[in-house]
Amino acid sequence: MLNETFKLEKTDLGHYVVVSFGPVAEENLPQPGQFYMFYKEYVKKPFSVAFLKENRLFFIIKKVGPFTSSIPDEVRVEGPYGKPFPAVVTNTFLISGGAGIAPICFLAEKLTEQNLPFTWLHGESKAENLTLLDYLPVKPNKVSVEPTLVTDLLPKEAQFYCACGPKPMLKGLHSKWGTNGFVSLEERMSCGFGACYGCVIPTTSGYQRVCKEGPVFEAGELLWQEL
Amino acid sequence: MAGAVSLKKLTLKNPFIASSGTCGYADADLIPLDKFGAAVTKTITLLPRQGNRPPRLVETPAGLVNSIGLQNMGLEAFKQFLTDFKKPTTLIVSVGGESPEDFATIVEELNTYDLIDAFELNLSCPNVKMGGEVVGKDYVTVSNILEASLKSTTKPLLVKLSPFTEQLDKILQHWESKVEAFVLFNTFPAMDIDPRSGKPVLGAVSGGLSGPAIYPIVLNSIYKYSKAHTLVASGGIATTDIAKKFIMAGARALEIGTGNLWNPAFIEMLLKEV
Repeated sequence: MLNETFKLEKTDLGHYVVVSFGPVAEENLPQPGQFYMFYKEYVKKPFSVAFLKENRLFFIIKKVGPFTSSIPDEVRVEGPYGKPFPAVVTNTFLISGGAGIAPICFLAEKLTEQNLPFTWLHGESKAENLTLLDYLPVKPNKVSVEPTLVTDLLPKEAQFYCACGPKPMLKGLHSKWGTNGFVSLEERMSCGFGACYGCVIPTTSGYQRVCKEGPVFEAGELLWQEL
Repeated sequence: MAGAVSLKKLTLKNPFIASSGTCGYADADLIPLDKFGAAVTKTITLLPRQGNRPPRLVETPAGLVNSIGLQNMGLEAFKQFLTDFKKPTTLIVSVGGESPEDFATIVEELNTYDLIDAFELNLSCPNVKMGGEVVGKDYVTVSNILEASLKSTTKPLLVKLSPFTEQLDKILQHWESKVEAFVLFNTFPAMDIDPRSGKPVLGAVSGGLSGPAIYPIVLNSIYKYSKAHTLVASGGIATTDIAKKFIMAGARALEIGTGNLWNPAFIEMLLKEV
């Protein structure tokens, strides 16, 4: 496991920042869906990997608070943490919304490497946020911009899916397509490695930690009405 | 480098204790618990508790507010857990309850387990019948719990108090000779509001503040009471400099909580630098 300080390279895209560090040793490389904790002066935050380039890790971070709006030049990094998406999925629909694009992009990259077919739908709140797509090694097949929602793009017949995005998007997906898929969830975390029980979500087997039992859950495990 | 320390009956190989709620049941796999002088389990209650509804965490400047709500497996499952548990270091079991009888029952039932070295009574548990006030609110409520617990176990008792415990002087004075140590303090009652919605951030509305934001307040109490009392400091020890200050102020041992969550290798820095 990685626990060391890195200088960050940052590309500011307005709504998002693309952040990278590395290279990291082979044994510390992540699987799609896994995340790293960034720590700087009493603030620790989880970020999912969006893609790799020669063992350098790239993250897509949405500016939502003081930390993400002014990401430090240097942070201590721990990881990879968490349970990834299944390694092999075929004919899957990848559904992402907003900053949920990060783990889905990484999954798309891995599926492409393995020649596994997929369809990727992505939703954004504003058209100007789409400049992000120029930085990605793999692009979504279709993109929606509000007021059109990514869930408006779903084919009528339910498909197997892997998804990450805001809770309303995930709920919309679940209500249209049911539980045949995997979702990656976000929660506030303080440790990232299962010690504090701060990041729990309601599941069919009680409260489960997003950092340890997740962040990727089978959609059927979640208590959707309580999310 | 910090060496072995003695409280009263207990001797720890170093003064650093992994605090309750930050190292699982003293089984957190990424924190090297074997390097600590002791590890305190999550608080064990008579019945299992699923804990508070999320969100359970919010960051504040130099601090962290949590409202885990004592999520734990409960006494019976904990006994099962202990049967094949290999403790990493001196093992302190944190005990919680709503009444003196709850505390007494738990320490009595766990008294025969040789691998438990001591108990820590978590007197900051909310008492639902008393409108959520902490069970160890003042001299009388603390005394009732200590009396019942001391009768029910032969193991050393550490007493972890809420920072707003009333009649603290009287409690320390009366019980000093009968307990192993006082742990000052548990987290500070706290909350935060989401400025966009105007609503409390935490699912349970209120929680407890930890982290460096609280250390000067705790340091003040440790400095004040350490000459006459056996104290374990707890509150905001998230840098090696803060740890040194608590030792200078007279704390016999230090509980490390949020510091472990922020860096599971923090203990290695403490062992090297303090």
